Amino acid sequence: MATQNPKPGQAAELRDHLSHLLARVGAGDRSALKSVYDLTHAKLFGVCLRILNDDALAEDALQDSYIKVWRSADRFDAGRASPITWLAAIARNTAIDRRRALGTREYVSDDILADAPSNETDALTRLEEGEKADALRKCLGTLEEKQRNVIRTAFFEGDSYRELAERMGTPLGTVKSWVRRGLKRLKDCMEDE
Amino acid sequence: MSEEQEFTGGDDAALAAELVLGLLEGEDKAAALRRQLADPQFAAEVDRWHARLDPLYHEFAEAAPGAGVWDGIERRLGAEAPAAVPADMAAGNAGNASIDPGNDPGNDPGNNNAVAQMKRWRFGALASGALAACLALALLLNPAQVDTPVTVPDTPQVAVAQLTGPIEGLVLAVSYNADTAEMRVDVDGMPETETEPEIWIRAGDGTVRSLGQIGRDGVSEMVLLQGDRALLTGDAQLFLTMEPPSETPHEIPSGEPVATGRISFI
Repeated sequence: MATQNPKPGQAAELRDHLSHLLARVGAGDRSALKSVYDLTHAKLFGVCLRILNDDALAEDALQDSYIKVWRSADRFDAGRASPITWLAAIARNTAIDRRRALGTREYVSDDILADAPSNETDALTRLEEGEKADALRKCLGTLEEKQRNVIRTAFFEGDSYRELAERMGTPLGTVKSWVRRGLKRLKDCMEDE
Repeated sequence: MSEEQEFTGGDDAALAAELVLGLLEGEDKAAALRRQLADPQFAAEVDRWHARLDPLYHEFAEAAPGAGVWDGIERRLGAEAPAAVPADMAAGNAGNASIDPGNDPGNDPGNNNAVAQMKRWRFGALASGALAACLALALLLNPAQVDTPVTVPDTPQVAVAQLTGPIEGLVLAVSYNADTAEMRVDVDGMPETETEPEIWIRAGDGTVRSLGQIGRDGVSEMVLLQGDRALLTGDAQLFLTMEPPSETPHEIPSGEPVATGRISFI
């Protein structure tokens, strides 16, 4: 298993450790990149696999992601983002780019678009669960189901507006309206929290 | 709050969220990325949406990739260092070669050019396992640009770099011919700003020197001064900042790099 299953109290320690490793990567230390890979590749591969739905494509995207990490780690700012989120965002964007470059995709069943959050929380997940996650979960819960679904689908499947409309067989304007209403309500709710 | 409330079309918060979620494509995405680079308030809104949505990343389940993935990463990292370039790749080198991704048919509008360009580089590197092979492929595809063959040089003669940064869609493809000291910089995805793009070397010893300002779009060519040539070694980086317009290179950058890339001698 890639993660070390740390205790919740070790959350800050792991974040600091990853941030320190990324600083070393930014300075050109390849052994630090290997350490980052060992700690995070299972999470990042999960992101790529979810969006690409194909082992080989996801592995290619995973390689691309760590090459990007290597090239851009000197721009990681621990004051602005948690290291695992920064890494996962790179993997997500890389996988989305790759998927759109392919142009087509075998869609998996919409059944996987679980409305409820996944129960599969891994070690890094548990580490960073906190008030912010609770607020987001609560505020997503205040949205209408269709609003919540389009936002979650965009995030987890990497769909564009156009792809969402195709997936749902719904006019583009309707999908945009659902998303924007959902986002507006989400923003207002989180600002109130 | 009414259910009918939604962001209006011109609402920055909506656009920022759409960018973060990846809902935008083509020119819409390019326009949002240009805003992110040119407008600090919009960039801050993008940051806020990243922060709001961060917890969703926790819900991606972990999965185990194949054991060969790390080896592939190491091979690609090795391809970025001169020492790791195989001799047969180096033998494919030619003094006046240049990589010009812009030679490809550019059917994609707007930002897609930049994205497609990035993908060409990326897929090329993946297919070959080495950036060096990308150059070899470029030489094969552009034989007219190769006048003479091709002896194995004593020292590396051609370098390439791809500069990217936090602004998706902004890509600089750089090639450098050490024989002639000619550098060619192909810019794609630069937003409208009041400042001008200026390209810099950060040498291995930390020395930073401006190579001057370049065009906002398309290809800029320059010949490096003798003092700058010495800085352009395998451990150098190139980076781009946005600076006030100037006929002469600035002494020091006034802001953070908007794109950065390492030099790879082929």
